[in-house]
Amino acid sequence: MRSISIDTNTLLTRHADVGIVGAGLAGLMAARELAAAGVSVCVLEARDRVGGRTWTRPTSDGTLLDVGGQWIGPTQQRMNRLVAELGIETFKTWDIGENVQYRGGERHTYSGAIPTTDPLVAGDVMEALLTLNMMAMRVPLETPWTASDAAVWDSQTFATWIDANVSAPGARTLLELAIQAVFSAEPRDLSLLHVLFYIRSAGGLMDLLGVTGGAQETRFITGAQTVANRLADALGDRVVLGARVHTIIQDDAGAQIISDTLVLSCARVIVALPPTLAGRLHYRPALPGLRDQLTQRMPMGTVYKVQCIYPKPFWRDAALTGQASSDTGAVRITFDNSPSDGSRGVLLGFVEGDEGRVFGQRSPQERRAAVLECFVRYFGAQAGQPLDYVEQSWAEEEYTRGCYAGYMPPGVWTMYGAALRAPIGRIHWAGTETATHWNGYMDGAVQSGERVAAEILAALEIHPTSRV
Amino acid sequence: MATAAELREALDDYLVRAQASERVRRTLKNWDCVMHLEATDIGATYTMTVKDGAVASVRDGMQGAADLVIRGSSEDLTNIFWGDENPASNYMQGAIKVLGSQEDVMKLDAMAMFIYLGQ
Repeated sequence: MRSISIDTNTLLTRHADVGIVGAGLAGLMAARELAAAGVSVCVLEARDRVGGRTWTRPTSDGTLLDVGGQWIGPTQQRMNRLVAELGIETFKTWDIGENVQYRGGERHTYSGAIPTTDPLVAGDVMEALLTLNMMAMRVPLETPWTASDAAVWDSQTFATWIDANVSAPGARTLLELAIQAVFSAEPRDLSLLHVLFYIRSAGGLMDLLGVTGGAQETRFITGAQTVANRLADALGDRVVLGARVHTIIQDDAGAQIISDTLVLSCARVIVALPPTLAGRLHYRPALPGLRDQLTQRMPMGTVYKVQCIYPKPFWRDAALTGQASSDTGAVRITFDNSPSDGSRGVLLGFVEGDEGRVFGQRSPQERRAAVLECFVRYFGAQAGQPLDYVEQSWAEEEYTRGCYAGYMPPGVWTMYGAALRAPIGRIHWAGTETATHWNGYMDGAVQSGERVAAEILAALEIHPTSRV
Repeated sequence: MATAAELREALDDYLVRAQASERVRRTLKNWDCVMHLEATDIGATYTMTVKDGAVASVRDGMQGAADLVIRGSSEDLTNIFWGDENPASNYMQGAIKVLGSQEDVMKLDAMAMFIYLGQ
């Protein structure tokens, strides 16, 4: 029963057991798992590249820059295993020396994970971290809405929790910065339950925030997109680029995925997109209300990733890590993002949340000047003379529409959480937003690809033991 | 390298500072934990017992069943318990190994930071 008429006669037609929408890590991992089980797959990707939110680009002098997701951490077992299997070379993020903190117009340096300049502030921060970690451990990862306090936690924003539980202004600033850095959204945007789910999903708050020992520990010598490129290479012509999917039709006989360039007939469909993008496709029959409304309620974060390239990483000579945090300016978080051989210096900054939202309204010249002003404030006059300036706005990306991930405002987990992964007929859902471990990270994308592949093998009644 | 007597002195002082910290007692209320400490280079071992968020005792040797096992060199352990080194520094995170449940490890981390900060 096809209720809309689309002239597909002029388009190429292909057949596969499973059609996959989106060649990010989730879609490619699902394809890899299914292909290994002997299932025929075809991945349709709107862009002219694979990798989704991972994207590695050379600058004018050939320095490889990750303008998207770029780090993996020691407890991200799936990514670590995949990277080892694919033989991809990694190296540790530069984390030697002191960090810079800029507060109330003053610059200080400190070592360790938490600034200890003001013991009262550091004590309040530690207390908040412990309290949040203990609350997070009570959130069931498969079903966060079943936590005993879910109704209370999902009825307030993280800003409300900070107001009620953290008194030292300096500690509040640090927690706000931490939230902006993790979600590229503001504390008032996020459900407390979602923040707690995310903490549990990563193992703990310091796992999210840390460099050494945390989510920012390890980088890829040839860039993070290498992972997706290798997966796609192995899949060969099962990955089709430049195929923007706009409609998915399903009925008793099967499904059709319709893109600008080809029509794919298949038995099962995997939509490996962030929920908000999944909601922009047309479905026939239309999706149930709960599933569609979920896609209306998971906004993406807002972030500009900005990078300056210098002749060398000069801050290392001053015994600095290149990490700064600040309570003012466009860039409030920075990292050393130099290539592994140190042949160039690269300072990386994030313009996140509200700052990211206003940043895009400025001219390119104003944006560059605002970034350099911050880098000079944190690392001295040398930072004002980069060889090159590169910025990437993920909100402007038509096929992502924001980073780092889709998040839950209050009320969404409790009322819509059950619709996050539940298949609709022949359609299954993947993407890092559907992950239980390292949700929002590459590792979560990989988990979601593996999970959805297992779901489909069960639906097709193919058992993993039948793998050849 | 520190001697067993120096490490024991640091631990006894740590007990006094932990008991004096209002924040430790408030934040870690209801936390009971038996910790075994091993200074691996000199073979010295100790048992530190936490009851209701307060460090109740330090004893020589490994007594009873441990919830947490803390291993490091005599020098690093002495520095951390005297409060000379930031327990959250990259160096200390690598130098001191802590084995136990996630909850106990998180609570120990918090206690160590509160005492280091004089909170």
